[in-house]
Amino acid sequence: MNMNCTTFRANLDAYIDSELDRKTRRAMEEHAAACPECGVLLNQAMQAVTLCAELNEGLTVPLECQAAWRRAVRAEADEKAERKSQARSQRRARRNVWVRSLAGLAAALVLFFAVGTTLDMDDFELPSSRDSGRYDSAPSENYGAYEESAAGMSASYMATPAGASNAAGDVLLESDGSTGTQTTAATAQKSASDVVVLRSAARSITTKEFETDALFVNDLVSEYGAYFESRRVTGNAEDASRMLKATVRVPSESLDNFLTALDVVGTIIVREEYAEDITSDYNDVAARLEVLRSQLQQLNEMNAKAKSVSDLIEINERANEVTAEIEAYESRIRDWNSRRSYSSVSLTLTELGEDAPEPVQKSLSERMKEAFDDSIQWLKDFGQSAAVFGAALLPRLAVWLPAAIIVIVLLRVAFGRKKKTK
Amino acid sequence: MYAVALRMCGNREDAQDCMQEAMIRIYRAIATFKGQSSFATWVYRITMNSCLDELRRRKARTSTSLDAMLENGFSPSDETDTPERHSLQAEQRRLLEKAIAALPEDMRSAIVLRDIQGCSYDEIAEVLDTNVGTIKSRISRGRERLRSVLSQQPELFGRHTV
Repeated sequence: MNMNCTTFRANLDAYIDSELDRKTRRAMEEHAAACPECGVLLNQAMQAVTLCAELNEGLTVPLECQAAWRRAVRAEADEKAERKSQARSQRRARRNVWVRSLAGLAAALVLFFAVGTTLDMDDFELPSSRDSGRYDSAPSENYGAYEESAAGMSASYMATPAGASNAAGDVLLESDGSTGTQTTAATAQKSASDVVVLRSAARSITTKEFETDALFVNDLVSEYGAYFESRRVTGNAEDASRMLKATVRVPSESLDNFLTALDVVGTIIVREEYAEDITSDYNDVAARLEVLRSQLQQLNEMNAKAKSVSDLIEINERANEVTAEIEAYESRIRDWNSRRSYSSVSLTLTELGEDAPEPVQKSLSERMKEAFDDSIQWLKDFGQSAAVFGAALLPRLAVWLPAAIIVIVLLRVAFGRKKKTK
Repeated sequence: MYAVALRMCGNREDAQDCMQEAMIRIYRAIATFKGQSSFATWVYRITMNSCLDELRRRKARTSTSLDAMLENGFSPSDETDTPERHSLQAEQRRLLEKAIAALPEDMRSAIVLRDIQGCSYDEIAEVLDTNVGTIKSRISRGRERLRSVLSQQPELFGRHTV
């Protein structure tokens, strides 16, 4: 095959790359052998290629280069890790803010619910300083009203059926069984005496002048139209151990005056006053009496009209029953009325020996001591109430304790992490 | 990698920088390597790109003519002081290196990959992101140039050494 130089040059690269078929290859070599220029060309080209191929023989990567790129990559890796951890901590910080605020809110809610739903205001009732049952002031208005209503009462404690003018609302007891409740001219007082209060009092007195004071008490009793329901003296004068115990019935309207008068006797160490409100019971009984009396009246009328003996017997039996009931109720009313008109004062007069310390008469220091004792008592009562409160609280801890634990855990989540994050 | 960088950049220092850069890029991109090409091709590509980038950056500052490089102390190879240093082969090599470094970049990259590294045309096309035809033409022209440079020193390249 004949090749010209142009073709030769065109195929030169292919020859170098060994991409020619054998035939063309041979043709090239023949031409190169024949043509001096092309021959040199081929030579040089091959040389160049060979040299190129061998150029990197013995070439090694210099150590510093290796070190350098390794350092570079490591720096890159560190940077990447740094960026990652930064991103992570940022995310964590943002999450923390959420978590903290949510935890705080949750804690507040839990606390609110736990306290709100289990706490009863009743548990917080504390005794006020003079409220321990020793002092019970009778509602003054009631007493005042009562005083008015009692104005028309006779001195005898038993209300007689003989038209004694009674305060309105007071139940009349008629032996013939006619209906009871009468309204008198004192109707205006009806509202006032709707409340029935039984008053009573107690006084404990010490004295060094036993005899004098005892006599003084007797005088007082007579003076106020009172009387001794019971009276008893014990002890002997030599030992100075005498004691007078008495129950005095004092007309209720004079009760306060009587007690005030008593104040001058010896040294009062105990004062007590009670007012028992029996209004509902009283009215209850009064109502029943009315009913029963009308029943009795009906029975009496039936008695008059009775036709047969058996009817008579029946009616009488029933009438007897009703009468018995009436009598029972009437007895209660009588008792109440008597206590209403006469208040009981329980009196104790104790003698003090000569060497007994003179009790200071209601001086400032005495009052202070009293007040102090009151406070001590109050403290004791408070302690008792607190113990009661605690006992009531105990079951509620079943709810409070888990709630508190949850709150603590939530708060720790909210605030504890703060110390740990970098 | 180093070889490619060295041949492309022309001196050790620049080759070092290129290689560092390439390594970092590889490290960063390794996660995204999906195996569309062979790993070697991928590495070549990254290396070549970082060299070309570096060269372009240098071009903005200085000229890459052979003379300028000679002025700046061009030392393309790892030269150790051995007796071979002054041998014929060594001389030949040095001349060739200079010639390669003097080539325009597109030709240089094709020649380096083909005649020095021995990559196939397809591979080169992938690395340089062009078609085979372009590659062939570059190689052809590059070889021509090299040959002409070498032929100017006939005492080194005149003989029949094939």
